[in-house]
Amino acid sequence: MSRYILLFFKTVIIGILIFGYGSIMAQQYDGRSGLRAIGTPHNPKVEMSWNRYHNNEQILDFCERLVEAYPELARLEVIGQSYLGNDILALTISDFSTGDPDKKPAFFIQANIHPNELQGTEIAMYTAWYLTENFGEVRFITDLLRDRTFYILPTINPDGRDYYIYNPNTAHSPRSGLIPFDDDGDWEIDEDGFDDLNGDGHITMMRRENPNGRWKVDPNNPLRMVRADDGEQGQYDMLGFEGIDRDGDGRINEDRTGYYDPNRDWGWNWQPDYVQGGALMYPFATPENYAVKEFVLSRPNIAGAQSYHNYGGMFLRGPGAEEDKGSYDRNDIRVYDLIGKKGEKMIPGYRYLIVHEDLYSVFGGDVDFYHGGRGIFAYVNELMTSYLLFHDESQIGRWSDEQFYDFDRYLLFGDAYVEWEPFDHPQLGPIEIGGPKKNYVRNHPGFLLEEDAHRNMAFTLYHAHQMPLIEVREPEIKRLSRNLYQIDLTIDNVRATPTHSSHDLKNRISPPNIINIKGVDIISGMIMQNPWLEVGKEQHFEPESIRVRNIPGMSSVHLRWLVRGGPSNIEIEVDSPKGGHQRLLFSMN
Amino acid sequence: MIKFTLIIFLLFSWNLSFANNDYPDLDEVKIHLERLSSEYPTYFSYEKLTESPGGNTVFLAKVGNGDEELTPGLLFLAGVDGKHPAGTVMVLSLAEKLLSEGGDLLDRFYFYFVPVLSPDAYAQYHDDLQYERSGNARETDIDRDGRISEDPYEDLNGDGMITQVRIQDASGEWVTHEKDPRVIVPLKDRTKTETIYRIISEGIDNDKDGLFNEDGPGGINLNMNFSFDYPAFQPGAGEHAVSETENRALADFLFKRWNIYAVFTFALENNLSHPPSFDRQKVSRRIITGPLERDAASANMVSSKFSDHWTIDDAPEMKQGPGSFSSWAYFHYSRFSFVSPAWWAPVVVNESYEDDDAEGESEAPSAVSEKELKDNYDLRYIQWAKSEGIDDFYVEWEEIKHPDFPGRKVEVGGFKPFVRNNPPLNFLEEPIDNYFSFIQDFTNAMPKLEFQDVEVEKLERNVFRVTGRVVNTSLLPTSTQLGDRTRWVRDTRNRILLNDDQELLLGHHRTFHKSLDAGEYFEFSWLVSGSGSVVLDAGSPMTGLVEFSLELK
Repeated sequence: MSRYILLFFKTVIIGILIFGYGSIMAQQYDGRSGLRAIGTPHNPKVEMSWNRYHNNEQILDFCERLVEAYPELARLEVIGQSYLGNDILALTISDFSTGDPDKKPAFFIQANIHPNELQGTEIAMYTAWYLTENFGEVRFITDLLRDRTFYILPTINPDGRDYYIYNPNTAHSPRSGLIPFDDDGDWEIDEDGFDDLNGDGHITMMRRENPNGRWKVDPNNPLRMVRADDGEQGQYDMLGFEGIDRDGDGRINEDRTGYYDPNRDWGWNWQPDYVQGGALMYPFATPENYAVKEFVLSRPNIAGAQSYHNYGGMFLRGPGAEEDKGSYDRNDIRVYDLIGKKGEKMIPGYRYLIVHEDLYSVFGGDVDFYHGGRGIFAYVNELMTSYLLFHDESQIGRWSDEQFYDFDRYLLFGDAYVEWEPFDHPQLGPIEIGGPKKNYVRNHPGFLLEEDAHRNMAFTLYHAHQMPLIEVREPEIKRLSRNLYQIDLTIDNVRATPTHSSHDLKNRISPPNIINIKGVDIISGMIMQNPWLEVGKEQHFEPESIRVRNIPGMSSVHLRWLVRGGPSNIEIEVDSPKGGHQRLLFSMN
Repeated sequence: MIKFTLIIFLLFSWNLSFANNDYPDLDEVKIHLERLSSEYPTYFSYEKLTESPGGNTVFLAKVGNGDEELTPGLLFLAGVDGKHPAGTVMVLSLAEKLLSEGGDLLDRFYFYFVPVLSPDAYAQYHDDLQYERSGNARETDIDRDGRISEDPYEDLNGDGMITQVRIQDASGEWVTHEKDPRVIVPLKDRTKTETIYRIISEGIDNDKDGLFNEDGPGGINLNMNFSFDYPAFQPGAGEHAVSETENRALADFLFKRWNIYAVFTFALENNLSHPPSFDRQKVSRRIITGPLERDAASANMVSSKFSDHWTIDDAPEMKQGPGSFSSWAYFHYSRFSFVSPAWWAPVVVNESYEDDDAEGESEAPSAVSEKELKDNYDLRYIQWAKSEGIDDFYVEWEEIKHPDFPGRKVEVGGFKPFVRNNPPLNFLEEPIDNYFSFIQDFTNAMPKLEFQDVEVEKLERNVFRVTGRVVNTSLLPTSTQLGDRTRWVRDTRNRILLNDDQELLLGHHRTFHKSLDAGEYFEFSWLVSGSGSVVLDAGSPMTGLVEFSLELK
């Protein structure tokens, strides 16, 4: 108490010294909250806690409150329905007063394609929240929403999300949506799933004492099971996840809810299940991915994309499979490297990696479709890494769960594990059940979530900032003869990403940049490689509408028109699908 | 004698149902299906599979009776693009022929028919402007230039069909054939030729991009839109594989039909006359591009059966293209997949190659050798047409003014669309008969399971050991070898069905077994406690179930 009084007196004294008394006394008590913590919205209009995992209803509630609080910055739409009929939501975040958001270069964020990978959703929502709450407060954010649009899909697997949250599951299940399939090929569907034998809402492990078992209790941590050394007798058999053999085929939990992998379902380099496990019948066979795909196909302004997964602490770029190496040429890789390496700085413990080289081979993944199918620069972030536990350098890039036990002991006080308890199993006899809870290891503990949400968001904002941005310089007019004039126009791309990735250019995925000129009587129009040395190429057809295949990052394109008569008012309209839409009037008098 | 009458009846019925003795339009296809369903209500039904972007219905018809889940099925499909209406007539006629002459096949199998998978493309045959169309009616920017459908064909000579334009151009790549100027062939020796042509399709370059008619109305070519070897970004392939309502609906249907054993497609591709050979290279990578060894052997066996029944020789080579339905049916649907055209022009060698219609040549061309006829399908077609008295297959070259080639000699002409692969209807009689008997033969070769050597040993008063084996006694395997690798083909199930007083001491009630080749078998062994009758069964949706009853005593 005395400390606060002292603090109060100090403040009053300083106040008297600087301002004189009167007003200062009132300022202390007018109901305002404390000091803004740098980097975090202060007094947000939309109250949110970033230390928990929200269900579908709460996600919808957040989106609705955001749109209500910021109608000029946020829009919500339903882009389709899941297999069970849940809505798939998309937020559009942009400064609507500065242009049509569907014409601004857009950044796309999707999360939670794997239902057990919850935290991407929170990061996606955090991003929407941070952008809107800081608009007008932080200049960079204000400019960003002036120039860019964010399409944010908090969860593209709502069925799986609520199923994961509300049903007994492991940390790893399910990875799919809820379309039922016959996993084990016995002509019956989902007939032998997990059984929450001890009824604690988590599917943990089963062990059985065996004086000659191959497992033993970790002497440093009674919760943890480790393999007995070679030549050493153990204490236990490990019997897998909680369950019973429901269909009498001698196997446990072999046909449970979910089997397919919705991240092997995307329409680039798609391969069937015998090449790529987890694939369904054909690309975009899940209604969720189909809806997302339709959303993306109808928005050619998307220039950058982010998909959130867990875990391992990684920024991943394609190709997913070695067979697809040709889709990533040097120019595109330069852009990926710029952003990916910046990410390593922004999120300590995360590494920038290539899926097929550093991880495993994947056909039909989401980022493969964004890059390969649409020519969009796209990353997967694998959220959460054991580095975040003790900032131990040796844990960078490790998936090992060793430190999770210590973290549980010293920072979570035993909250993360179900202690081993005896259970009388109807088929296996007396066993014990215990192990990590489903919301541990892969998903962040609450107090680590907000920081990682912010850092990952910052990575996407950097990527979004580096998307192409078109600026038009003032035209230069030169009189060539009595009635013949030359108009030179320079258009800049002031960011690192080209308007068309190399892969896009090679395959003509996106329409070209189109530059229209009005208010002049055109004789000829041309794209100049070097306007100073008269090197260029004419466009014979529709010279008033010059088509530029690409404007590389940090580069310019020079256009020239020969026109009859001196131009007075020139209207230039630039329509760059990924670089922005601009209409400018220049008065030449 | 009865058979003969039936054929006559069939012919007669076409003439009734298809106007002008021509290929049926979409309405007539529907009328045909309606008629079959009223004439054969017990065995025939049809349904709407989906609707195309152009608002046309894709129909699926079914012939069969009984438990569909456990009755082997065969699919017949045509019209995956719009170039081959003869395939559609084959499918419709086969359905009718099966109904009228199929006998017990109708109770032993299910036959599925998709007469027109891409009705939007198919309809162009009967349109005011006739051309061989592959795309459906989805609005697309085929040439990916940001303009939609801006460069379609133009009927420059006003004859209601799209043929070709030839431009005299020393930098061209084409010349007329020395034996018949109607046939255009690639230029071989520039120094020896006087008139060289550039050939384009009939139309102008509307968007002045140097390409002709590259972005007309529509659409997605379904025969490039399936997921095996999908030709991403090629004109007509779409934005990703299996993107269209037509092929997604088809695939959804097929993946629910575990009983479909083989797929027969009519298209301008041919793996029945030219079966694939086994190539270890193609199956040793993780993405396989050729048939597995045992499947190649089966395909070759079926191919030889086809040749036994098919009476047109010298099939031109027609490859299955990237993204084609027929390749998909094997590689991604994992069923046996056979494809052939409904018809092709046979080689007819005449003493001399004289033709009054051959225009503008002063000398009568010399005889064409059999080899030339085999090598050049156009020459062969002309010779055949002449021998059959068909003379309306060609639009004579006519000079026109073409805005893109001022000052050059430009002519419109060439083969009429469709004619070379779609003969007058009466020429399909024989192929239909041939194909029908081929299919009968095929069904005889389909897998048959049999219980053999079943034994019961009494081990104790009330304990029995049941052993035996299940053999595939037919010529074809119980599924493709590829089917063993995928979840979309069911394994053969073997069950022991006990009564309430019996129980298994060892083993499971159900076991599952990979594909059985001809003569191959699996063995079973159960320990049962409790006496009385026991039923064993074995089978899969593709083979049907066989049962075996025994008494434990």
